[in-house]
Amino acid sequence: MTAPDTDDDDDLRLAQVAAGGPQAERAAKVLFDRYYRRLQAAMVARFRLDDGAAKDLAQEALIRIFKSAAGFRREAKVFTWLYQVAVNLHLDHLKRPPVEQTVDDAQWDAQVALASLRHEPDASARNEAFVQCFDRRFALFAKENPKCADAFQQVYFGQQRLRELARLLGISEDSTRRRMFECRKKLREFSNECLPLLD
Amino acid sequence: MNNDDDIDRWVDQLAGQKRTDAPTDEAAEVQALQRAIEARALREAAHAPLPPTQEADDAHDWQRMQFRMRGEGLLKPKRPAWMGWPSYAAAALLVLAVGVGVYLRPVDEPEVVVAMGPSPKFRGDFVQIDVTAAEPLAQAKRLARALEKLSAQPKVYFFEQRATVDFELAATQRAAIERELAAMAIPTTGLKTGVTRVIFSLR
Repeated sequence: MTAPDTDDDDDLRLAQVAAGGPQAERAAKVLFDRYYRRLQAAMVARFRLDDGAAKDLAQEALIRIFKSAAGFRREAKVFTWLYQVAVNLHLDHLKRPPVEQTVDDAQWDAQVALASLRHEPDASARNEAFVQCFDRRFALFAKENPKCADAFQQVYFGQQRLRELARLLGISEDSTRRRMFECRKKLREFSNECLPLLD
Repeated sequence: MNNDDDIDRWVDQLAGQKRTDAPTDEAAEVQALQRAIEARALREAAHAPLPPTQEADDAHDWQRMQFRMRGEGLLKPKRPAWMGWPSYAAAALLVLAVGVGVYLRPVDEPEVVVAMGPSPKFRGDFVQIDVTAAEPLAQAKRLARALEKLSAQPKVYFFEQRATVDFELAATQRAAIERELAAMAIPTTGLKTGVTRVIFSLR
């Protein structure tokens, strides 16, 4: 019986890929087997991509981390790193205007909105304590209010405003507004304790 | 300001819309919520059961991955098997030539393995070039030999009088591969890096 893989094993394999020696291909294969399909499934769920596009994205993300494997920070897990690389790659792809194609105002607004979804490291560093506190509290909130958490996720991932969300849920805009208001109220009951940590 | 305006603005921000009229605390709250949602999705993705898949799909995807890695210089190009034992091969050929006294033709072409069956179906993006030839299989083998020398790892399939050559066009080998294709009168317009398929049909 073999022991299950550990994060230390991943570190070693990334180091082997970075070294580029005879072990590189085998190490890459192990990491591929471990993460490729999971990442592909995650991208289908996150961006509603078809299988082919999700495969391309997962492959590109793996290539990117293999190329920068030497700079891997041990505090992060490989899957976390891969996931973030894949998300940013896809958002970058969506942001890029098609070649020789003009965009109208609405398309431009959509591109700007997408750009705003990208994480900004400076802001992250400034409010790290607040963000971490919020993350912990949101996890508890989501456990007790999964429907609210799902609705928030739908809005964020689907970039849906109230009107689109109402259409998706099949209820009136007013009802949707009231539900979102209640959900936010519940969220704040959990997250208010983090507010003093905000700059 | 009433609650309706307030929640509309809040949802807009959560959906990624810039709202300059939002108070600083609210913007920070929404940004933290977006990150928390990403973290939740990541946690779920890390532990979600995976859908079943075909073993052939995984093998094909790994092959594509190897192509890309070689193209990016992450893996060393595979050398043809005969290059691993050149001294033994030379010695054996010499003995054979002297002992039997036969004329030896130079052996400088790698062997092409042909799969007698339909080529696999590709999902995702790939380039397909259709050409006609008097001898599809011979042409496919010729192309495969040229591609093998460029480490493009061709695969050849022969089925119903059609010969298919699949290979990965890496950015670093693009110019050389284009030259090989052009030398065989295979059109190169529309070529791009990635999986490429050339189909030779009977003229």
